[in-house]
Amino acid sequence: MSATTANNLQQELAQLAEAVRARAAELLSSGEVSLVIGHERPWIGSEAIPAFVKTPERAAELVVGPQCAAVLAGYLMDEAGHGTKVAVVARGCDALGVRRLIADRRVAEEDVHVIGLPCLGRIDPVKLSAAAGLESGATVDLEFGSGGLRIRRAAGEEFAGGPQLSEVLADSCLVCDVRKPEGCDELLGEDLPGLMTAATAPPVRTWEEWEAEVEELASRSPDDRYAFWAEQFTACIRCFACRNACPACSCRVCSLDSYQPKWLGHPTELPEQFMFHFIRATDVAGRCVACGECARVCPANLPLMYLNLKLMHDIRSLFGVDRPHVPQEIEPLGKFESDDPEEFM
Amino acid sequence: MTATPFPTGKVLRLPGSSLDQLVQAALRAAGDGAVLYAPVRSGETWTWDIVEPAAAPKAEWWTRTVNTDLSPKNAMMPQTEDIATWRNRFRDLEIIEPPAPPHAVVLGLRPCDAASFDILDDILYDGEFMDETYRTRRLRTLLLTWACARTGPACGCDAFDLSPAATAGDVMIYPDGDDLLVAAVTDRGNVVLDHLAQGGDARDATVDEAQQLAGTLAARTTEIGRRVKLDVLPIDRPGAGPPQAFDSPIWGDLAPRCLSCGTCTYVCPTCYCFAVNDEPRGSDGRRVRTWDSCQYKDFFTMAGGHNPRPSKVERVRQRFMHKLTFHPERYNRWLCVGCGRCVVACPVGLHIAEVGAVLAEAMRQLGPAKEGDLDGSGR
Repeated sequence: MSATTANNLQQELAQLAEAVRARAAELLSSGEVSLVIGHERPWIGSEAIPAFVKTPERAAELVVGPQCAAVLAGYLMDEAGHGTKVAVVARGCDALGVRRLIADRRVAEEDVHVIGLPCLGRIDPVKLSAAAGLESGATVDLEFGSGGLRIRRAAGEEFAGGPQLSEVLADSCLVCDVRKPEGCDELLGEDLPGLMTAATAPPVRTWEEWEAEVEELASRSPDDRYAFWAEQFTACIRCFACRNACPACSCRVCSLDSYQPKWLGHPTELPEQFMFHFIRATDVAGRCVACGECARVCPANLPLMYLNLKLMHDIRSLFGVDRPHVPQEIEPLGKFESDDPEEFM
Repeated sequence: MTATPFPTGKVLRLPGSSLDQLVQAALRAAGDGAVLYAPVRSGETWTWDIVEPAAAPKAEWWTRTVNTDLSPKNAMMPQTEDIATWRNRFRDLEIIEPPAPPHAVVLGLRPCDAASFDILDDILYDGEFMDETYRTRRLRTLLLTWACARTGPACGCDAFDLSPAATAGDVMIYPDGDDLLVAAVTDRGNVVLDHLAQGGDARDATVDEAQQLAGTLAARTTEIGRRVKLDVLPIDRPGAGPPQAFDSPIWGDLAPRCLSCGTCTYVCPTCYCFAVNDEPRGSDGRRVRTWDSCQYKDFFTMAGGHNPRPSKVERVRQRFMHKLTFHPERYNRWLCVGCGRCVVACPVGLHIAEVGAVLAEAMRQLGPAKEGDLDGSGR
């Protein structure tokens, strides 16, 4: 990345943030929406956190960029449908999540206003900590420099060299093909050539390369696969972060919560752990938007996207769906065709 | 609350490389068949489990690592624990109690985590509602507390009246270069040091040198400790605010961000809510106690379907007011030790440090409680 490009990206991100703030303030002032969901600076730490902006004044606190963490679409399940419109500041994954909720009839299209913006990807704090030798939870500022990211470890210090952005992006961002979001009500940043070029460049990795990791795992012996997942699921603490953060996990009553009938026991021994993850993964089969939020929120850092990827791979190969993460009106698993594959019969 | 007093029992100096001698001394002191809980790597996280003494981390681990990702509360409250099992054969019902928990040693828990057991004791050990299995495990378990050589970015013990070298557990271990100063806190800790003094590499040390080192370690502050000032909340000030805090608009502002995932409660060393479920298998079955969380929407649902905490606003308020006002009013201690796990683990940055700061600021703006404030609240 040349020095000019880097400076431009830094400036353009600042311009994009200004555009988001201005647009949010405008939508709130005009009464067109009653709430804008975006990101704001955290109280401590480095990752921007979800912001719920209800006044034009507070719109000034909105931020954008690769340190914005949470995927915001899922919040619509709580916030939309109360009589007024809700705006979401949406990267590609947020926008896919909103489309997922609309396609699943969980959120009404007319209740949502999607403000799209070009995205450079999200920084995975685990990768950043490893690459830059940071402690978990450390507060750092980042900017784009000519040699890659530059890191400021404490207020008042100088920015110093850091890793390349591509080295520290979340796995799901490495393959993302919607960094210029699709299907938004409006798109900001189209006048920012550096960001638009970056957002429309080919992904760092192909889907096939990521899926190859899963296929390698899938090709191992049943005992080896069991050992792999048993180790992972032993570390699972059975919170509901993966389910609750997912824009495709939108059931009003979840089988994992049900007492009558009780589908899943409370004990955290391996049979229940396996069932929990089978249920979560298969219930979003064909509807996962590949935002990677389940993996991001997991306190045990389980490779949950492997399960989602395997199912996406199968849907692509069995049903010929080219981009299984992009919501369709009716998904292959939601309909029957007489020529559907019937491998198991 | 005053700072925890420095232990005045026996003190020994032990090379860090001879940590196994302390482990063996503690296992002997803990009783027959004692098992060892130590930090273990599970998948990508550091947690606590029963390990062979040889598999426990070496002394350098405690210098390198601020703390584990999960707390050691599973040594006293396993996430899944049988209360009883039953077998039913031709109307001949047999109820089988689980075997008594083993004697145990917890090696190297941090002062914050050791203090969390003192806090849980108020509720579960010698409180109004004694919890038999907790009490049995507590009586059978020796805690070897490892004072912190350094603090991490999410640490905040000093915001909650503790310190990186707060006295808690049965034995305090103070890191001193390549050596460890080992100080007995309780009578059981004295027994550990008696065993440790018999042969091996331990040398005599004085209370003075340990106290000096502990003082230096304890004097360090954290960023969260500097930023979160809870003096307006009701430790030693009964009635100084909860009704006002209960009705504060801050809960409506904070709660939308919450995912209700419960991660904070599971990584928390002082959260102790649990569920009891029957798990029948044919005519046999087990009654199981498992961790549960006040952040789950069905946690408060009553028979008949009424839920007094139906939305995230009530549930988020419950978690943080329980820790910052309800519990302190009743027990004169925070229900938080500032370990920082929720600061790191919350996927959306809604944690005790931020909420403590926001709540304290709201209380400052509201001013002192007025007479009659305690009468009207819906709490």
